[in-house]
Amino acid sequence: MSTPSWDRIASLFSDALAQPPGARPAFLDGAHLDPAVREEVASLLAAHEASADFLERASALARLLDALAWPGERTRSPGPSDPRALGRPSA
Amino acid sequence: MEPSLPPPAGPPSSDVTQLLVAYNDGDRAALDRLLPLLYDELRSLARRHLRRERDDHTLSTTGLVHEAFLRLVDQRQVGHNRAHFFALAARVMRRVLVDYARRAGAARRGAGERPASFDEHAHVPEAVPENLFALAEALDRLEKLSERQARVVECRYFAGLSVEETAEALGLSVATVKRDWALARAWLYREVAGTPPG
Repeated sequence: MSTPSWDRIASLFSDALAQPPGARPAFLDGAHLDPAVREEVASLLAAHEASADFLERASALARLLDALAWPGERTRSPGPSDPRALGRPSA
Repeated sequence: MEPSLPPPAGPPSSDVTQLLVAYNDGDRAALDRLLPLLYDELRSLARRHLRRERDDHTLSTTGLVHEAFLRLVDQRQVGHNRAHFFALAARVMRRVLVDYARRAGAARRGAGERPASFDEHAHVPEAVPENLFALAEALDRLEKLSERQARVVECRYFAGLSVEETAEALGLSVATVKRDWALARAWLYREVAGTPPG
């Protein structure tokens, strides 16, 4: 696969992102890019615009951590639990 | 202000602090000892928190990482170790969560990938994000393109660090973190969500 260098893609993506959204296609046109490079950068820009808050909120991770506490899970290395910590009211 | 918790059940803070100092000085073997210690501590902290605040917890990944720092690192010897700790903890949080998702996925499929540490009878919670496993695999691929960008994702997403905290943890400029984060998000979104519109 003859992929252009990732650094080059990254640099073009950042430069294009610095433009207002409406100006990005013209920016790519003006850069006279190899078609494969242009396509890749345009695809990433489209992904950026479609991604909304993808990965920006940790809510999904918090739910996963919630699942970590499911009852019945055995600890791999049963470190002694600290009853003081368990009994502490949350701040 | 909540005072720091009592001394940890895990390793004494002097151990982790010394290992951090050794790692900072270029001792790669220290890393091999640090990561399992952090792994166990972060998992145990997560479980402890969730049992304590079952009803209305507002557990955040960044809260966990900060608490682990307070418990594991000797606060009198922070210095550069603080930033290094957060970068390593971010790496470990990725592992903790991805390991979990892998096991949960195996349990859901009824396949044999389950490590012995998992309770055979535990139900598989529906809360596990369906795409976390896909995200983890995509992040492995991104790491091959740019290890730095993968580290940024670990800090921003898996450890919940801010852009500024990420920059400090990784020794990068804020501008670089912003650029890497934007590109990594777009790239991962495309990998995980399929072909975006447009």
